[in-house]
Amino acid sequence: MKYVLKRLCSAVIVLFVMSVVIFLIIHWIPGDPAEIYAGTGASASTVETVRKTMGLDRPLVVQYVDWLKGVFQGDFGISLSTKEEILPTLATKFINTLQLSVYGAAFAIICGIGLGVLSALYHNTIIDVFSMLVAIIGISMPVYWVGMLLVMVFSIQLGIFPVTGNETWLSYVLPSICIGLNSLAVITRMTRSSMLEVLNEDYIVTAVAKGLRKPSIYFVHALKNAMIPIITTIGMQFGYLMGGSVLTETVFVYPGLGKYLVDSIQARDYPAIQASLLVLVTVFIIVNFLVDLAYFMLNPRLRSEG
Amino acid sequence: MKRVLTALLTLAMVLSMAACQGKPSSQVDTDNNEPASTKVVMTVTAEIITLDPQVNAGGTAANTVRQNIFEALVRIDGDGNIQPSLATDWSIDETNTVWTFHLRQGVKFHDGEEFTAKDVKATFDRFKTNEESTRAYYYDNLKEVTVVDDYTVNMVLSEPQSNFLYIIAYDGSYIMSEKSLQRSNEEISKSPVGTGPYKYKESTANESVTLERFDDYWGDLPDITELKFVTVTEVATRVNMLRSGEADLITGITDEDLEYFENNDDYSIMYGNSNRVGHLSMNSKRPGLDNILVRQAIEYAIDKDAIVNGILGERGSVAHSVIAPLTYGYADTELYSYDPERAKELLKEAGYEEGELSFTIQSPDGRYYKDKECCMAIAQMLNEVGINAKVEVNDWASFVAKVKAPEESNTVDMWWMGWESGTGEASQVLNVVFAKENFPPAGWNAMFFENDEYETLKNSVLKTTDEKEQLEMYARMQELIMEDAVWVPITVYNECAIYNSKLSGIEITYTDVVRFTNAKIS
Amino acid sequence: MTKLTDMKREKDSGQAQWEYLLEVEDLKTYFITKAGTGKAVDGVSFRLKKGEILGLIGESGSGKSVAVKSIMQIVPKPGRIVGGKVRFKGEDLLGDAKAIQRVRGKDMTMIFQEPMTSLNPVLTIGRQMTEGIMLHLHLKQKQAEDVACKYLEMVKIPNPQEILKRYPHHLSGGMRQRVMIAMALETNSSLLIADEPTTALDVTIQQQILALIRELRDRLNMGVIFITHDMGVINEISDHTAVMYCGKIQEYASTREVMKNPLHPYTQALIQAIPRIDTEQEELHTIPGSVPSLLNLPAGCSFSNRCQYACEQCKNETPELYDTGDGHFVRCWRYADTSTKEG
Repeated sequence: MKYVLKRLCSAVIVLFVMSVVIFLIIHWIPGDPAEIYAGTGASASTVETVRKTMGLDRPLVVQYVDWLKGVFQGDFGISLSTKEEILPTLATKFINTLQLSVYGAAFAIICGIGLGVLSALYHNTIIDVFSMLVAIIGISMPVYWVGMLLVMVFSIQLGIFPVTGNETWLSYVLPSICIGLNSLAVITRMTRSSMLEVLNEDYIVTAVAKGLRKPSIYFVHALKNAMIPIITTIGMQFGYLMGGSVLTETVFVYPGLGKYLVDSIQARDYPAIQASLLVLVTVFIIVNFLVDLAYFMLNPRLRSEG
Repeated sequence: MKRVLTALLTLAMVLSMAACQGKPSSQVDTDNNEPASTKVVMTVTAEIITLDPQVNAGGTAANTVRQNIFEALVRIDGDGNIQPSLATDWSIDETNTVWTFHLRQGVKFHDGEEFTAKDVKATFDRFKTNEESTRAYYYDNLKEVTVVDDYTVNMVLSEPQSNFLYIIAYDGSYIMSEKSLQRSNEEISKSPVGTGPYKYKESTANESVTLERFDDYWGDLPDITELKFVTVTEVATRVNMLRSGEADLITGITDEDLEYFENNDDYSIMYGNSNRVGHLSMNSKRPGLDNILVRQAIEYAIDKDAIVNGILGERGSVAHSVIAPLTYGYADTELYSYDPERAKELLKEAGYEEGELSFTIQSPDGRYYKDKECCMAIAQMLNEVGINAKVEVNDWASFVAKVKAPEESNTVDMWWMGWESGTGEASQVLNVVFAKENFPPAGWNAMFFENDEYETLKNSVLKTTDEKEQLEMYARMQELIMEDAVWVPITVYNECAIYNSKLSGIEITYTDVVRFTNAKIS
Repeated sequence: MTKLTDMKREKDSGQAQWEYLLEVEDLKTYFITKAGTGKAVDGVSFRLKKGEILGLIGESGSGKSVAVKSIMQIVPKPGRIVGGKVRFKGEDLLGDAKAIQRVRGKDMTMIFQEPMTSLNPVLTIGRQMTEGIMLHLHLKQKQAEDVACKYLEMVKIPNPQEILKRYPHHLSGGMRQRVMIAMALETNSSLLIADEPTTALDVTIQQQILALIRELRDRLNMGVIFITHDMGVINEISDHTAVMYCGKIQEYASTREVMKNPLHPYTQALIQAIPRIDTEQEELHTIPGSVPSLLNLPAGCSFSNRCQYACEQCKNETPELYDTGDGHFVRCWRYADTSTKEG
């Protein structure tokens, strides 16, 4: 219990510090949202009026405190470019990206662990070679290119999946694969090496000598041990998934947080940028916490200490 | 092993069952019981931020949607001439400051209201009271709008303004119903009310806007019953959507993409002349560029034909002035030709050795068609005459911040931009971009161009009613700019739309906007 | 406390009667690598009756571990059993692929050298003890736990109920080894193979484990193969002794015979090398030279390069195992003519 409270406290501190850092950095980057919004033909006085409406003429500290006050009350402010409340838009896009990340992660985890286990069991056979090939492709191919390739083959040539959008369940397949491919590669490699290491341990020999059947040996005795580093990897990967979703969202016109963040940066929509980044930081923190928890539960050696 | 194979087989079966559900196709339902409904999907290249015509944000994407919802009192046709729209005829009084418009009768708004003079007044009055309007400055000279009777309206100017009709045709002047203007700005921005052939149906913020046919439209009803505009920022995705049938019309493609569609009967390609001139600008206060001989040398060093043919292809034609031929007031004021030897001579005359000068060209990142590539070609051409040139690519916000820095802190040598006249006539560019009062940070005259004759012309060109005199004045202004060599106009852009061959009657306006009013579907 | 006499052993019913619990005949296990073929076990034969403890002694690399792993068919790659027969209760385990699955972990069990790493760190003791019972004896969870507790008591572990809930890292080395022994017994196995079970433990614990094994053999009438490199331990625990060197058995006899009358020069050297506390010793005896690489065995007798009696014939021809009478076998040319060949 104390452990949980400690982690919670440090999480809050991290969030607060990050909010200040984010605020400072984006106000420091060159570029004026009032100019962008007013457009190239606008006169200087129009730009000034816009700037006042956006509240950007106030001192930085005032702007920050006002924003922070709003956040505590659940109000993320008004978007400088769409003039709409940020929270509802952000919530929808966040859920979209979360959904996509979960599907992508599920794909990466299920196929990654499966492929990793298979290649460890069939070490140095054609299956092993195949899975290592998948891993190399997954790590080295740029996400954007993978997305385009998938669309060209499966949407245009074969007509199975739609090119864009998120209406039917089919439209989630390609983006999930696209966003998860990199993680799939990492998880496969991690699973393979972790399994191989574990399979060489003495307790596996004991298990075999006890006459246990193969599924029990591989999936109970071996995998449970192998999972410890794999879980850590998965946790880190999920963070990257959420943060790196923008490329997939752009290719597939998927209305998610990543694209929202990039568009906000281009328009210098300060409150939208701040809100999006804060959400992402929170996700990271939560995921890390969950990974620690899982680690704790998987590894009984940690439990007796302290 | 067996289990793995079984799983794979199951997966394969599921996939093939899904495939049998059929390919996504552009929806043309022909039920026997209902009249055929037709839906057309168009991709736009940016988010449609607002549909309020009195706000600038949203660029071409928003303009595209607005074009199909609204109408103004007059409109500019494909040849650049003013035509009646919601006004049937108009006249100006002897003082040249009072315009009288007679309004079309029997026109309905999308909200059911009858179109009368009060709506015109309400529309233009809003510019004065709406703080958030970023297009209000177009109407600074409009003193007031008075209702004479239900179908007659007077627009009173403070000073004569010869381009007034162009301003009235401009899409900031779209007419909205008085009733709808009583709503909040957010509502107007999301679901505005106009008189056009299509009305707002629904939208998803930052994703799409759907319009449906307005059956009480005063003119000919268009064929297409529903128009959906989807924001797709990635050009490759737009192409894929057209190929798979998820989109019926796309814009913003590259020359290379055209190849697939060119000899394909399933698709039609249409080009539209635009108002926009892509050019290189020079900051005449920078060391080296403050010498007119150097600037002229740069003009001679650049091979416009090579850039247009080699990089832009069908998407551009060579520019011979700072504004486009389609723009009212255009005059061919080409002064320089491609002559690298002459360029080198001028540099020597200016006292510079080969390799002594170094400049950086600031380029936006894809805001204009192949902007980076054009800049790189220019840099190479400058290198060939002994000027060290390199290109810096910026995102739009940083680009604006750099170029619009005040003189003391402005470190930009040269930059690429593409100005166009939103109103289709020259003053929109000439009086604004090159005016002395518009030195940054107030405006965009980052060339720091300053010329007394020019200022005089600029202040009087809109006051004259003699068309011949006006055209002469515009021509002289263009000459002065070219003589001062602060811009190297390179190309006049063409917009290009590719669409499914079952569509016809598609138009592209001079502001690069696709118009569906006369579109037919077979 | 359950009396050991309460434990009943089931008699094999309806099976052909066999004389020897385990018969190993000319077993060959080779490691085939790119560097060459290592003949880890090169023609090993021995027999074991019920209730008999066989001690298998040799240095590291002698092949003793590989030999017993071959019996259990858990030889690590790239090792492969390339020849010979292994008959357990009359059935040839090498002939039928499914045969070993019927007995491994059930009727034939094994304990290992490193108790610290031989138990799975993420599973409870209870889980690791009951899975074997549930699988082989078809008992339900609760019944399996009861059986497990009984055997934990038998190996003198207090509070067995508590221990079932613990994890291996909660136990000491000695306790873990006891748990392993309990695991090896709880399926009513007839043959226990112990691969250097006391090497990693300190001397006092070692004594306890040895005593435990002897007691269990007495009560349960199990056959035991006990591997060690320690002559002293052999002396204490085994009825018969087989000395292995470079993949072959060099000498075989009852332990008393081997201790009193070692015939093979290697055995003699091993016994001489035992440190004694009852006499003065200036230096520990060592055997000159080193064990040859299995990839590069000398032609002829594999001990010839270190043997003080080596002659030309020793260097060139490999001796067979000769019977010198009274069940005492030795693989050495010096006894070839005074004996009948064994093989």
